Amino acid sequence: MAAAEPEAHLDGPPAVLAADMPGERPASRRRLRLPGWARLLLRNPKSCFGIVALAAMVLVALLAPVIAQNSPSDIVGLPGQPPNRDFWFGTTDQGYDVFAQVVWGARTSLAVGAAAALMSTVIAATLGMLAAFSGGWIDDTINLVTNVFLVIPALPLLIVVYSFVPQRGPIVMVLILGLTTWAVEARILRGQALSLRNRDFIQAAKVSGESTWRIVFGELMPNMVSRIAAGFLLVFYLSIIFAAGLEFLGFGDVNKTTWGTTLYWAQNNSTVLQGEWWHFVFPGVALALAVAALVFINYGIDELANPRLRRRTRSSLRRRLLGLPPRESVTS
Amino acid sequence: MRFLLRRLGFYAVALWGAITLNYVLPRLMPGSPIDGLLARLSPAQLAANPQSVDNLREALGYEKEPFVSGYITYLGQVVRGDFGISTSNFPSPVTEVIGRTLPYSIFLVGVAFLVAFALGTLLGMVAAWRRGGLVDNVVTPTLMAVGAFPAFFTSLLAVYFLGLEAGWFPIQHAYDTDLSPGLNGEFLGSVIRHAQLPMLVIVAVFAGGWLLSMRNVMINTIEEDYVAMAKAKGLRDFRVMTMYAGRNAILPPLTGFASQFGAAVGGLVFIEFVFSYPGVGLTLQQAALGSDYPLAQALLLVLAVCVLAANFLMDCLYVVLDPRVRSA
Repeated sequence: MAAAEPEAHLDGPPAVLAADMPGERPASRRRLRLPGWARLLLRNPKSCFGIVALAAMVLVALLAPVIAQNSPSDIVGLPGQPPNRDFWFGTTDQGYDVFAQVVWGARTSLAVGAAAALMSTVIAATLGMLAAFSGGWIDDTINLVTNVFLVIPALPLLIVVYSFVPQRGPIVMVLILGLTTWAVEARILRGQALSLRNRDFIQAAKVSGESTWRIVFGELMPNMVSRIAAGFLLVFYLSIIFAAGLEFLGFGDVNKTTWGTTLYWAQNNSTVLQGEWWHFVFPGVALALAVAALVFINYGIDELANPRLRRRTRSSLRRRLLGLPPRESVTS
Repeated sequence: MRFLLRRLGFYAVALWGAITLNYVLPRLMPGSPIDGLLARLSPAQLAANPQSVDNLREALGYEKEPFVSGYITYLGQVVRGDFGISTSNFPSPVTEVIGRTLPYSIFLVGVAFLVAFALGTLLGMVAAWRRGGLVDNVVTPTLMAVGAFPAFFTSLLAVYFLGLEAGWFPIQHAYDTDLSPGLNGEFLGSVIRHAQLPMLVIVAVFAGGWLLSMRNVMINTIEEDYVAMAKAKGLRDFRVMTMYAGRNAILPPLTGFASQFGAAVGGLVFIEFVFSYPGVGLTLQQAALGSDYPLAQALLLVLAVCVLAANFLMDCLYVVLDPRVRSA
């Protein structure tokens, strides 16, 4: 389809040609299309909640210096205070401000999750599309490696990898997560690419002698953007959980402020057993909220992609208007 | 039969992949694992034991042999079940440590995961069957939200609210510390009491996933003609729901078993860590933090074998449930 478009320009008058300049087209198309799916996602209550919650989190992370007056790594008050007017989320056993730690932690935790998800998505998209498009032994090999990665339990693998790493910190975390979480997404994207492979526009590109790389990235990928975006959200969710979990278990840089390390110190100081609930509840709730936001956006995407999962209020209304019997009368 | 043989072949390849990963990983990393071990010793300790570096090298078997012949030696060791000595439990061999901890984990995750599967699937059926009913409107979103929570946070909350504040459950270890392990009623009762809360957490975390996948498939099967037919015959509602719609809807969720069980094994590490439960998860965490490489690597293999074995059991079940696989 995309390959045929430049031909159409040749027939049109010069004025149309000028208006259809390559630089102009994507912009106008995006202006039309982006609100389209965004409105659909916002209309769905699940994904609307997810988007609003995630946007709020990102905003808090960006505005961390404004929102939290105290530095997360300074001892600012008496140790072990429950939440009060000065320290909304209380203080730790060392006298750190839990509120500042949660707000600043959002920065590292979200950034590590996003970076790892980006890396994993790039690997998954490349391998998935390459496998589906090349077929033959390349497909078999990539598919086998993907499946092997899928059945090896991810967290134990991450822990063992981490035990060998000499340095610890956010960048190492991103690399390791990116290199271990791609399999889930690669399998989905391979399936999607397989179903697209035999469509006419791909065949047309093949016949016209385009190179494999060009077909994969120029023709195949634009048609998989929505699926890749959904996969990105899934790996984003996994990365945030894995990163926080690994830090909680003590495999992070314990001097950096993230939700995971705050929880690690809470566990290390056995705050749970001492009843200092604020030390683990607030970072945990922040983490859970971020993760839930991503899950809910994905549920919304699922419901958009599979209309049967949605409540059929609209169609049953239409059926009633058309004089058809309501479809769900049997089940209810 | 051919289906099962093909699966077995795949699991053999997966296991070989895990073993190879185990061998390659320490050799891929910058620096030697020995450095990590040495970093934990103080200069004074090193000065007092000048041979310790060589001894460690000897004990771990790194850099002794070139890459390829070392790999063959390693494969031979794994086949013989010789995983070396656990440095953090010196002088116990790795196999002894695993033998001590694995039964607890299998008990914990095995029982809880099956309960989560049964409960989630049943609730998913009901949620799809009575669309918009009480289960669908209350239980579905609740379990979805709990399932979206990170497992270790759910565990922390459970320890604090149900264990500490309410005092309903014991919160640490696998049995009362004044008892010694043995096959007597008192000990087993204590084990069951201590397992209740961790199991509850596993069920709460994983039931939601089964519920949702079952519900989403079932919503499609409900509209099939054979379900309408069964209803028209006047069969009891429960029978149509379980034996007609549910029986056919259960196959796609089962294929998600692999990733779910892998996730459960990962979640086990957190849950055992929070509850100080002496299973393989906690042992793995401690081995990895304490640079006990032989133990950590062997545990990864053991967990991989557990997941593969569970997958194979599921494949067998699949053959029983889906006649199409048998004829293919």
